[in-house]
Amino acid sequence: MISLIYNILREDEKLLIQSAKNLNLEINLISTDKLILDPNNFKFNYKLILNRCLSNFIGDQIVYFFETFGIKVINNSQVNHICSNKFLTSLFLIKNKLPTIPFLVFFNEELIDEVTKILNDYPLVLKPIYGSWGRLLAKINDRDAFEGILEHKRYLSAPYHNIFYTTKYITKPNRDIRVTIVGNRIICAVYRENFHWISNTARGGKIRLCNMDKDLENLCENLIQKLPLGIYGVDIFEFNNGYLINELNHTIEFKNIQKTTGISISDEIIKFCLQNLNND
Amino acid sequence: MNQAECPICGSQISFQSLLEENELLNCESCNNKLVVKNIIGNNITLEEAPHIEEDWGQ
Ligand SMILES: Nc1ncnc2c1ncn2[C@@H]1O[C@H](COP(=O)(O)OP(=O)(O)OP(=O)(O)O)[C@@H](O)[C@H]1O
Ligand SMILES: [Zn+2]
Repeated sequence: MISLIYNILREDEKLLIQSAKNLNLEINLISTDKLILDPNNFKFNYKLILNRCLSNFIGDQIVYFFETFGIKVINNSQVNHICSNKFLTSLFLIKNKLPTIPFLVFFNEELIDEVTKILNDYPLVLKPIYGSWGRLLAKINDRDAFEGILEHKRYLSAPYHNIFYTTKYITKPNRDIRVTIVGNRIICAVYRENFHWISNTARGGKIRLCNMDKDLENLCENLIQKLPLGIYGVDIFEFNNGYLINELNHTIEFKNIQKTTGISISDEIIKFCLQNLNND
Repeated sequence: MNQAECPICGSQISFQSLLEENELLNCESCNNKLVVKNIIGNNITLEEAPHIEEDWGQ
């Protein structure tokens, strides 16, 4: 039996529940609204937890708590550590010599001219280090915009908005690529096509199956070697006849890919859970 | 088959399948997002889905 922990049960989780049924794996649903993580009265006899929290911050606490008491969680805290903060993802990628987008972090708006010089001029993209679905991404085309956005960030309430994570804007062919990895396997790659520069499906990007060429496959195999074993959604840009890894997602949303391609990512995730159960 | 009322537009929503607590639903009449607040026997209470938080997503 596995325990699926969630805040809000989406279509993705329903697909996981269905796959578990099909694969004869019993699944226990736990809403975080009902949870008290009390270390002095640890009464959970879970074998394996699948963390499907929509809230990343809540998900992190769940993972650390249960791991402390020896319960395996998928994805584990090592995976979370690499994926949940975009700056840490970037650091992981350059440390492992994986191709990624030029980036830097700074904290003082007086440095914008220097920053722009280092990143070799506009356009740039500013992103919150936490977040998803293309929220609060800003493409900055000139100095006036840069100043304006940084001033706005100062007034946002979460302190992490004062971490100015800045990347080079990459001109890409109206699409990006999402590669889904489960365990040590590439499950599939799809294009997400959109006329907006933000091409992810949360923003209405259209999905089309992508036949991976050798370069893309090698890149992903290399990435799998470097990453802790887990479930990943890897966002990749095509650039200069090559590839750049944009980011790594760890609580993947796959329903649109599954529906358009017919590839059952939910089955793969449940099989991965089964493997982990059997390895203990 | 169970029924519940949309807390926004008041229309009746019927369900074929089993519902779970905090399950996300769409009201077909007003197209708003709803969640299942609680299930007591055949009584299902829905509420408006919470607004998106900054840490939500993949
Ligand atoms: N540096 C960039 N240059 C060009 N396009 C970019 C850049 N960064 C992001 N984008 C576009 O914005 C989309 C969302 O970016 P990113 O994945 O970094 O944000 P996110 O909020 O984490 O989204 P997701 O939920 O899909 O992971 C990308 O899929 C891409 O289309
Ligand atoms: Zn309604």
